[in-house]
Amino acid sequence: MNDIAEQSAKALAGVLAFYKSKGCPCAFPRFFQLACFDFRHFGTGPVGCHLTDIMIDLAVTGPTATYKLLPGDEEKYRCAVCGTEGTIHSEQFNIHMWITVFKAEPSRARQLGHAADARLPIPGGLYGFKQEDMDRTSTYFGSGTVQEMVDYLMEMGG
Amino acid sequence: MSHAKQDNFGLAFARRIADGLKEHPEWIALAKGNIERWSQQNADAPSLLACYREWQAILELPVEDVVAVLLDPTDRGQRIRQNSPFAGVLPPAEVWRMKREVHETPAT
Repeated sequence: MNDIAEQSAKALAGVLAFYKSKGCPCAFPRFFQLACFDFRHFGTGPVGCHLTDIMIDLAVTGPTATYKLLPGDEEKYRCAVCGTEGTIHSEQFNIHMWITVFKAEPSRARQLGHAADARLPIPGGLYGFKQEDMDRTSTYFGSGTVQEMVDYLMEMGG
Repeated sequence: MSHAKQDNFGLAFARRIADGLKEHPEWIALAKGNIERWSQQNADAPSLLACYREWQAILELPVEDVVAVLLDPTDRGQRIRQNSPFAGVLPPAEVWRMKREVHETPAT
């Protein structure tokens, strides 16, 4: 893992810990903005985001996790705090292109975080085979530092 | 996911494919179809085309030999597993479960 990736992973763990300290991530629309990125909404070839993968992992495993797998199910999760549900699965789109997708239902938590009303600043992390595909997600992701990403994800208020 | 966990996932996925290939020889045709489609989509990407050609040759082998490649413990086997053409063979939920299990297993 390179420095930026490592810093981003640590920073996102801090963001999830902050969300959990406030109840759960579902109260933060910008959590879903990052965790539910799906390239298919952009009409491009396959594009993934390492930060999305990390956010999903943090939401379902380890000390920051609030989403629990429903008994007897392989992909349906429910937030143990607010009850928001969603599915997570992993699809292969090319010879070494695995993308994990989190589809969340509308949040059941009382909104605490700021609306997802701007491009999400990220310090890299997109992967795909063609630059033009990644460029087409520029209405969703902007360029930013790790700190700018953290500040954006943790901004409070509607 | 760390490189070690990616390798572990690649091995778990390859083992699952190897276990199922004899009962599902149609997976070979599905993989060939994937490679044909990807080759057209990425005709301007020489490195990908090289991976596709390597797998095209493997998929012409008898099923037992394809299984042997999937389970090859050498560095070559590890590299080839990262480039699996068996997309769409397993349900996305099963793939996620395998990823989750690898992720939750402490690295050795």
